[in-house]
Amino acid sequence: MAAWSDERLLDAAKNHEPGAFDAFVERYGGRLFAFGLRMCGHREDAEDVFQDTLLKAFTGLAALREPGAVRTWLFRVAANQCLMKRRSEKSDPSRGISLEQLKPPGWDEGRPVDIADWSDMPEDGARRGELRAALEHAIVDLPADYKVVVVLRDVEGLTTEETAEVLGLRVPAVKMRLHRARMALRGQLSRFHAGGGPASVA
Amino acid sequence: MSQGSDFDGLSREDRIALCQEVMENLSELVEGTAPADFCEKVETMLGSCQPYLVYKDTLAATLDLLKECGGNSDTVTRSGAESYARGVARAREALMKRRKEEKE
Repeated sequence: MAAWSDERLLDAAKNHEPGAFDAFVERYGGRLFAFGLRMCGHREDAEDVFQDTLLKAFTGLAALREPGAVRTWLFRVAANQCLMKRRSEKSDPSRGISLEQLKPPGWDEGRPVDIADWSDMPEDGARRGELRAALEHAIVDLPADYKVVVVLRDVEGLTTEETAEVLGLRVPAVKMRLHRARMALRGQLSRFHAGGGPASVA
Repeated sequence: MSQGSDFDGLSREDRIALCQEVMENLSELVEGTAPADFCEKVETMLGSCQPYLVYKDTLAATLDLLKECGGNSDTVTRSGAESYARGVARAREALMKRRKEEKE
């Protein structure tokens, strides 16, 4: 099936056209599932969130007027579903760790301690795949409020302004969370390079 | 922190304050969106500082990998193919049920 444009999708959803749901899944399903998986960290939770997101997003699509707003709107629906799921499981202490635990040693004193230079990474191949996998694990471990920002902005490629719009935050708040999340991930990759693995937070 | 630059002429407190400011704005320095005068100040003070360069380069490498993760979402989805398929099927079923109820 050839991919439908957002404009075509909106019309099809409004008119209950046969094939509209499949076209919607074809166009956005993979990204929404990957987003949910990164946010939830568990396939079972991601599956629930994905199902709810697909249904809510597709049925709500008909009310959307601007084809240009589809992508940010979909992520708003998906992010809300993920955060609602997260809130309903807030009592589980095994999920997520605080950003304090991810700070590099000496951060508060402006003292960089882990200064290993691993920036010269392999261009491709298995080692780079391992680094991506380590980073995916590190993303899952971020606190939800930071994770959602870094996934939207850096993984999904939304602009800072779009990310702020999706999350109902002000741009400076997005920038602050984004930077802290990035620094935490950088620190986790440093630990991975040092042989500790990204999940070995003290 | 630096090697014989203006940085060494600063008091300890000022060095710490500058390092903290740099660390808090490293994303903008890496992405080139920091104010020009701040970029210039950092370049003058820390342009040859190894720890600063390492932090900056490894953060840039982290951003590159994050972007790659985005391009790799199909692989992530494939890794959970069964969950994906079940999620689609359940959503489709719920949609059909809703449409049927609407008609009735």
